[in-house]
Amino acid sequence: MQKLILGVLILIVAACPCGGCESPQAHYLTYRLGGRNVPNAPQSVPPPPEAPPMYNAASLATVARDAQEPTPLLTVVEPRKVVYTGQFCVAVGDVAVSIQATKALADKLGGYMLRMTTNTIVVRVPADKFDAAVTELNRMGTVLNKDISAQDVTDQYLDLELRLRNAKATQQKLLALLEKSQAVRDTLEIEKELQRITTEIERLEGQLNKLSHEVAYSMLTVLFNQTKNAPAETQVKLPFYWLGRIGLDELLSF
Amino acid sequence: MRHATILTVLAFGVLSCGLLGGCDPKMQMPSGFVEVETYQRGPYTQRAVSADGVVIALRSETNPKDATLDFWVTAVRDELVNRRGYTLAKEEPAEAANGAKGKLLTCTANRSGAEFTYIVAVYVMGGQVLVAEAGGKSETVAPRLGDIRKAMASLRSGGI
Repeated sequence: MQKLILGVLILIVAACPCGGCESPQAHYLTYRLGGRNVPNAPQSVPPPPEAPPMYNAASLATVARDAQEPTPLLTVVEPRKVVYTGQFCVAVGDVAVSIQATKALADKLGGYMLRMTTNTIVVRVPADKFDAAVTELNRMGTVLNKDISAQDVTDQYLDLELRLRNAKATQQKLLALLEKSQAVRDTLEIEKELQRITTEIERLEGQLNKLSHEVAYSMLTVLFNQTKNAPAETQVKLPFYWLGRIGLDELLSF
Repeated sequence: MRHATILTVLAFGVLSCGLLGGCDPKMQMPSGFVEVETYQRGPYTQRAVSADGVVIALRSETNPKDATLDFWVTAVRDELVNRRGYTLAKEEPAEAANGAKGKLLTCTANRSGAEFTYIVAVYVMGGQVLVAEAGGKSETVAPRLGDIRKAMASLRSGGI
């Protein structure tokens, strides 16, 4: 009987870590691994801990400016800054015509052509017209390869914005100091620092403008191939060898 | 006696050539074109080139039983337009020197940024499919279009 009680107790103790007495760490581990790789993972996983919110640079600056006053917590950023890019390889009947059509498409959508070769064209289209451009490209011929990517640059954007705001604040402080400065040595020092910070502001503004433009205008690179390069399974080849040898290639080769 | 034998053999040879199709079909090449040597003909029975790079050639292939002109025109058109990406500019009836009906297809194609013109005439004559081809840069083909058409219309089959 004692052996039976002892056995039941051992079973209860052994079963405890498998479910009933699960620690918060175990929940967290389950969440991190998506509940798939953890043996005996519980069916109901607690909601994931909330990701740290994104902060608006403007509100950050407000905090910096009004540091004396108690300020409410920072606001969440919206919308996110995303750079969309697409690369296509399309088999078409006439490469030159398709390149011109792509250029015209970019113009029509409010974009512009960046680069063009005999069989490749790179265009930028407004980000909100990206899907429309992709749909039109799909209609131009047989899409052999497609690679569309979205890069979230919100952090990078906010970082630049914040650094720019700080640099401008420093510039204002330096200007104020310059006005009060009496000694020549101090004035020279302040002017030197002012020049450095002005250069920094220009650099940051340039980066921010570039990033904003990349967000506003998505880039599409299209490589066109002649239709004969389309996958073989889409074509039926007749069993007459000479048919495959008619045309300019054979005719003009000696 | 000896002369009579030689004449008989020659007559028999000429007749064989005409009746059995032993002689190759021919086109009358336009002036300004030079026919190339046999080893430069490649798969063609006749091939000529102009100094500025326009080429005219004739291809003779066996015609399987029941293959009509429409069959070959469709096959050639499909090969050029759907497989090679040529643009079909014109398709019109053609007639060879012996009265055989055919089709003349005029296409354009892009090569390294330059436009080329390719003209092909298809005829079915007895057991043969005759395909006359001409091509070159569009700017050099354009002034010779009349001569090329005339050459393709001068086609005579090797047999009767």
